Amino acid sequence: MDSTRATIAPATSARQIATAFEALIRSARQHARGLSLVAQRTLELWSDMPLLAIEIQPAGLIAEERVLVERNAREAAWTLPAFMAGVRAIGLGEDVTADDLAALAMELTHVQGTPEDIERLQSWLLADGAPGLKIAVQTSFVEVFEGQDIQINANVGAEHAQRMAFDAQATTLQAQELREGGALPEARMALELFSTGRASRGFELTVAERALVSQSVSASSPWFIAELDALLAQPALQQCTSLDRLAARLLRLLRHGVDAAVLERLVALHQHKASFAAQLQKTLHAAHMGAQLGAHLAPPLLHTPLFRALVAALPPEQRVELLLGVLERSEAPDVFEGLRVAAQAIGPHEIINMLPHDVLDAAHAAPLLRLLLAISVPPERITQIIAQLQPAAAVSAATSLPEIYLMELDRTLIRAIARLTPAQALALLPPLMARPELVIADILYTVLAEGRHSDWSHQLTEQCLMRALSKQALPEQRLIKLTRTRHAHTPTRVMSLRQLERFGDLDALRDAVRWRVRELFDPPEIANAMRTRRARLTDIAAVAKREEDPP
Amino acid sequence: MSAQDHELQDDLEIAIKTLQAIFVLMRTVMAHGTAHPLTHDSVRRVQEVFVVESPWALQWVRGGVFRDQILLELSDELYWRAATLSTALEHLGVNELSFKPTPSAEEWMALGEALALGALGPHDVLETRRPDRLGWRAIPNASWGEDAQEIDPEVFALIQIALSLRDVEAMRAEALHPWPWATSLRLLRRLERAAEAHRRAGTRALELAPEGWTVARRACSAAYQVVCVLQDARADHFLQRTCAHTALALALHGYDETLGVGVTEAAARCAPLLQGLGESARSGAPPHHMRVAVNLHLLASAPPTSWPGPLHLCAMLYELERQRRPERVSFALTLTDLMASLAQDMGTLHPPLWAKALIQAHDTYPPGAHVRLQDGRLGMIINATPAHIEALIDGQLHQLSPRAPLQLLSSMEVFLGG
Repeated sequence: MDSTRATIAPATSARQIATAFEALIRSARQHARGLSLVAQRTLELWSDMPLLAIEIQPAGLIAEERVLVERNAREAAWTLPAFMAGVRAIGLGEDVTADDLAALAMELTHVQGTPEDIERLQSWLLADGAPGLKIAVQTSFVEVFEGQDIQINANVGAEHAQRMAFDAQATTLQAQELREGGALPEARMALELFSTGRASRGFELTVAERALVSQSVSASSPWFIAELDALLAQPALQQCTSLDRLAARLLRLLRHGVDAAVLERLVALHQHKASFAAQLQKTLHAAHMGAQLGAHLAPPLLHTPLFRALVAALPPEQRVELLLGVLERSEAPDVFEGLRVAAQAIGPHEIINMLPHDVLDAAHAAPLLRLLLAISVPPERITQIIAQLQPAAAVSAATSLPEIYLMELDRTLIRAIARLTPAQALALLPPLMARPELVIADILYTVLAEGRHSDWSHQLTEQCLMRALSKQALPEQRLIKLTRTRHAHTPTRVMSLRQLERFGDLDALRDAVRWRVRELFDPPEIANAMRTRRARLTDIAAVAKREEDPP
Repeated sequence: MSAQDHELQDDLEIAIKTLQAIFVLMRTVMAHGTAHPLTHDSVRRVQEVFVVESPWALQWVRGGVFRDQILLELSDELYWRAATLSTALEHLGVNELSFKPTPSAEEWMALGEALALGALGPHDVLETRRPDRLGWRAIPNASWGEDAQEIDPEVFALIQIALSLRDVEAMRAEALHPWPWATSLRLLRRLERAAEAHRRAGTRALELAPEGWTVARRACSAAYQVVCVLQDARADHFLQRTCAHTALALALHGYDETLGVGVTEAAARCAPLLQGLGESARSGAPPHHMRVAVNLHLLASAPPTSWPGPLHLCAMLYELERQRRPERVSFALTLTDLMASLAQDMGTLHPPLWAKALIQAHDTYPPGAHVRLQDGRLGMIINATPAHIEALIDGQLHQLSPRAPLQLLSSMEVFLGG
């Protein structure tokens, strides 16, 4: 979503969103082929203002107390019947998808002003037809009207109760009825027991029981399992199921938590041979089920054979999504430990094969390497993997490696750092620079000296330079070399010269600025800097001489 | 289209034409007064379009216009005219205009004049006028927006329960296959509203309704209790509705005039519900329909240990309401009887968690409970709150203190003479 947002105009207005929503409904009316694209675009715009609720009024679409799309013969004609059906506002829910918006558009475009349409729309909304959306629904015109002719006395029931009470007194039970009535469970029951229990608060839910009830009504996994089981068992249910919407619903449930029972069912689903199961698997995979699972799997489950069974049952690309999803959370100690146990059980070689180097980015490489180290993958294999990674991933991974690996990988890392974009360098180098080992200084020095890096900011270059000098016995020598090497970037050379000047070692400065033929081919900034320092050194020497030999 | 449909269309057309003509009359009076020839032309125009032989009425309810409770399909322009008339009528304190054949020119003129006054602001002109062939009245809860009148929540809950009972009875009278999803959803929404507005009044309406404990009333009661318990548990609307729908479907398929079949058998009888779930949907079966179908599938074929928690509540309420009409006796059980039975079977037949949740959802003395006073007299609870108890004693309504010592009696004890 972030990458998408970057392409959107920074200030999305409520009017743009309302206009896009109206366009979506027009597309639905025209059965436009690109309905899902229009829905996606509308969702992207709306996601910029996720709290915006568009009011539906007979006048049109309203938000922030302004009419955003006015109803007329061509536009927003649906608002009147929708209003009549009780629809008052439409907003985004947490898990909304473009498909939810498209489905709503399809329903709204079909609603005319007839009572049948109004009832159909309301029934669809009451049946949770638009699950990802927050739709405020009031009583429809038809519903409100139905209650108007019912004359209610607020003391309803009293008259009837009176009649019942008199009847009761007048009732003479037949002997047969009495005998049979006496056999009824309720006749045998002591109402005093209930009464006493109630008085002593014996039937009150304890705090723990309340929590259980609350958990029971909010737990999503039992419904997930029930729905999956029922669907697999009932061909009648399968026939009236839209696989896309079913997958969206199941994934929505997954987002609220994945427990052992859910995992078990998913494994069973992937082992199911029926064609419906196969189609559902395909739809779930297309909707990135693996990533959802990876993001929401409870950590204790990672230890279990169920997790390994699921990893084995998933097709390769889903397996990658799942493992990457878990890796993303592996900063948490319990997730990492769970993953370590699972990886050990699955086998290091298999894990490495499951995650090919081209799928690993900077965010995943570091935790993976940490994991491989934790399960004792041989050093040569680790260096081999890092050598194959994308530059950003390699640098990120190196951040968590022990020093011995860094020494082994110095040339690999120099090459990787050299290929980082300025943005990647800005994000990935500070953690690397924070490591205390000397090898880091050497690597950074080489990168600067060979001028292999891209256009880093002045600040980052300076940070790298300082890190390259830190803990060095002879930092001046590095600065001299950096100043004089023609491979280094010009700003780096100038920066090194200034740094050397700050050190105050005139001999080193003299070495750095000593004239040579190659200076003729240096960029003017370097040549000027050299010249200026030489002149200053000459002045200093002259002053010193005067002080030594007074006239 | 049948002849009856044609007739209906003609009636609705006349209503729309009359609406337009009344609007024009109002505007003409506003612009020119009652003496102007154009105003008389407008009256003639109303008389021309108003060609009917029997009385009928136009109602303005929350911005919609109805002829004898049938919603009129209005064009955009006509909608605004109707809205303008609605505002004028609200200022006059009126939501319905009724007509008898055939109002005179003077009567139409008087209406036009009143509407013109109403269009300018609140006015009591209609309070003193009583024409023979024109009538008007206010309809509670018919206005909307800032002018809407507040309706007493207790009355609102009673109305919703009354309508729900009517709907369930109608459902029973029709074939239940295919399952009437739209009707049942509408009635479940009514039950939810009743429970939200005034739960005690809703329970009272169900417990003390004048009709006997029919299958429909027991089904309605089971669904209502599910809603009440799940509202207390702060379950979301979709879960409440799904579970209440499950209880309703079970009851309507499983109850007989007295007891009925067990929950598994009842769920199995609901199997045809699974047919045509998505017939009316444009994008597969709505999630609600699927969830209800899944619940029924579980109740019919899965062991209770695998049921999600709230399904136990559905099954429990189904079984409780099933007991409401014991076989071979002439009386029905009260809610108190049912809860006492529940308390007795807690942990054996019914899960304690949901049994307690149901008991806790009601006051100590639910409506309809039989009680014995300290002086030995018998009473029936009509309304009990923490502040006061209203009971019927010796045919009279009495206010009792909540601290008054009352002994609960079972229905059987009462029928045995207390």
